[in-house]
Amino acid sequence: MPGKLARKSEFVPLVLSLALAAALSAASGVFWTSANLNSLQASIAPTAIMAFGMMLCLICGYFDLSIGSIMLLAGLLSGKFNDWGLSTPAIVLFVLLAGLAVGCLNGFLVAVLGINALIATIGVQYIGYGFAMTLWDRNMQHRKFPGDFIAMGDGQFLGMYYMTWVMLAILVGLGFFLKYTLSGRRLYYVGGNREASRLIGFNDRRIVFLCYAATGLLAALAGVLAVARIQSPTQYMGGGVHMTCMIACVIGGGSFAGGKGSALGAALGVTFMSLLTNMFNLLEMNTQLQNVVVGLTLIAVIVVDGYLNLKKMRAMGMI
Amino acid sequence: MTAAVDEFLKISGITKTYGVVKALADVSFSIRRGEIHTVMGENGAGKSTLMKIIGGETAPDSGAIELEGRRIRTFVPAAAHDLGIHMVHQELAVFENLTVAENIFPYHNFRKAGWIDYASLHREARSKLDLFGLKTIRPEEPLGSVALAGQQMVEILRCIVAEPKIIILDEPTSGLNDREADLLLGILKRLKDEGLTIIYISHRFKEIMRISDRITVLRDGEFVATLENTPELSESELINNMVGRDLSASLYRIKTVSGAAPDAPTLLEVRGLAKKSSLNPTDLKLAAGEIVGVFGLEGSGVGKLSRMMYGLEGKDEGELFIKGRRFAKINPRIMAAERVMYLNNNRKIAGLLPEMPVTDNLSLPVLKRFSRFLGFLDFRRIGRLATDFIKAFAIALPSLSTRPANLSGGNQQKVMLSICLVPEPEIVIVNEPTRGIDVGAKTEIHRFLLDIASKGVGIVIFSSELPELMSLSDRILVMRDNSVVGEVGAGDYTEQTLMRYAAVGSAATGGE
Repeated sequence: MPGKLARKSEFVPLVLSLALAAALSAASGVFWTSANLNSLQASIAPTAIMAFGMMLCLICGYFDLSIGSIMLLAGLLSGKFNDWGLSTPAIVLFVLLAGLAVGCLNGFLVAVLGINALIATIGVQYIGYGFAMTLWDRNMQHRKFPGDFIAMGDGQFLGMYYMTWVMLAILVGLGFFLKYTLSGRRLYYVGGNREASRLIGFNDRRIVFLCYAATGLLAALAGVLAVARIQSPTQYMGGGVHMTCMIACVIGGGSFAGGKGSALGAALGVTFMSLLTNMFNLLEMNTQLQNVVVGLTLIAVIVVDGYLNLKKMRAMGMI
Repeated sequence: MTAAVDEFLKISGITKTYGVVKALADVSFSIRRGEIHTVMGENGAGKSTLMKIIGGETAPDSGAIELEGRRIRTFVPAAAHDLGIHMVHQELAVFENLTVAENIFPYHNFRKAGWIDYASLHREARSKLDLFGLKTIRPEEPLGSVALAGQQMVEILRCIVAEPKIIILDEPTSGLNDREADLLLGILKRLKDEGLTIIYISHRFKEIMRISDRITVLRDGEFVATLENTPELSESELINNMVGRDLSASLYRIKTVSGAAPDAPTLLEVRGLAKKSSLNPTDLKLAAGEIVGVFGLEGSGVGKLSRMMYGLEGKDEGELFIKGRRFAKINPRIMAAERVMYLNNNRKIAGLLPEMPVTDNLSLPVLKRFSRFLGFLDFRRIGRLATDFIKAFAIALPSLSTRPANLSGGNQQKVMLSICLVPEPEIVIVNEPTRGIDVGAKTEIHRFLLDIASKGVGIVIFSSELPELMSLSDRILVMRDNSVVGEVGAGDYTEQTLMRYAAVGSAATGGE
């Protein structure tokens, strides 16, 4: 039984996260304080929601570098819509629609026009960032959001932020979708062997398109929740988050080759990344070293995975 | 009523061209309900194209396919599946990232309240695997950890569980050993007895004679004959049908006398080149000015030999002697340094920089020669070199800066051959030098090859076209099952002899 668990792709990020949490509880007195746990939640939940989208793309064999821009766009649009005096439900609805629209643009470029995902999503990243920054004005951060908007970020239920519950709900829903529905399984067929998936009659383009659309929607949701949590939009939101998510997904069992990964893996990968940041903060270590550790972990995970694969293929006499 | 049985799948007047190449020309025949119908022919005879059309992967230019009297109009895989036509590809279309069970049932027909029911999925997969006697494959294991033969069986199972009317198997036994092939043939016989119609492509005569009800032979994209597999049918009859071209009227002049001088020094010698399960120990000798042809059907190991000789693929054993010097390690860099050049068989994949000007392509292997002070390149001399080659090879070019991507296949092939010859090699290994190009370019390339051989260059030519080999080579080696099984010298060439070696491994006529 333990052998079976160890073969799951979620095993690595789970062990890494538990090890970090254990180390932190031993090394720092403040790790288990509610202030620290709250800040951990506020960092994990939005990032994980975005990582879910990234994981969908990775399973199909693609990726999305524009999610950070979409998050920023969602944040600044929230501020703009608030300036216009829209109600909270209207703000959320329109921001999500905007995210969905950008996601559809990515999907159109990659799945319909067939543009390389790197080029297409970097293009959209710049377009999204530039457009978002035209909305920015310095006074935005001083204007107040309505109380029910702030409550989305501030409110707690059973000791956890609403956004954490939202993230967990998506985790469970997406987990079931990917494991127990034909639509979810199709992603793995497309990512595993695109040509073959076409031959068995799957509409690979539509599947990839929908994954990008969902990714845009999820990034916008993360943006709204993050703004609600910090109570005002900032122009720094979403910076570098696409890389964080991609690294988290790969540590969590995803692969650029496609056909692998799970929602739980994405969430655990993000948890590991957030705990790592938390460790450097709590132990007052040089934060630049954090990047070194992230890079080393990423490469170690890939090298070990590749080595095990190679050993397996050698054992089977394939190479 | 017999018409409906006899013309279960009716193929009439199918034509398909790719560029200048006619893959299929007005092919017509019918498949009976419930038979195993083998389609055979040399490489390039048009078998695969025809199967792709029936399987809905490509549309014909003209002609009609009728299933049970109803004409098929949409050529997409999904439409073919809906009609009950499934195809198992030679290059497997499987999902190594998913489990065996998910590969057998990609549509996940087993649900409980809408959710996929993995317990039933695995149970059903288990029972299907048992049905085929595949006891060692577990439904839950990832397909990537199953051996090739097992993956093949899994793909066939995927087609079978869809309860098709017709399945098409493209060389299903090429990756299998005898025992596995035996198992597969047994299964096919059983499926046929249950009423399934099977279209089968293979090069293995023994298998074909064992399981086929009828055999259709294609040659150069044309229908030759459909033969009943009666006990009287002989291998010779099949071979004659496969090859029987009238060469007297063709553009090829069959070489009757070796062009190589008998006392010419040996340029290249391959000794005991081998790799587990892809090439048995192979020897080959090439003298200066000699052209040695290598012939084999698909899966005979010709491709492996050509790649391994140039170090494009690793070897387990064997060594190479170039002008008497021994090389235990073979890689393209060493070969190029020893003035051995290699012409790839696929100009699309390797051999050309399709988006760079022709001059850059031509000067690529010899850039060092044009490197001046601080590494600056002497473009004037590069241009002169390119002009010389373009003239010598009669390459039709709008200008020197034209990119090969915009050239015809024949001109691309000429550019590719020029690239090989720019460094003035002493030995050239060419692989399918005229695949998919028009007759004019073909004869020109043949002329160049004969010309450089007469100047002392040794050439090893790998080709699946017998007439081409027979008109160029001083002797021809024939491969089958990863070994060289025969050698025929100029003067003794007939298509029948060569094909007999390639198909059954010996030159002797008569039954088995």
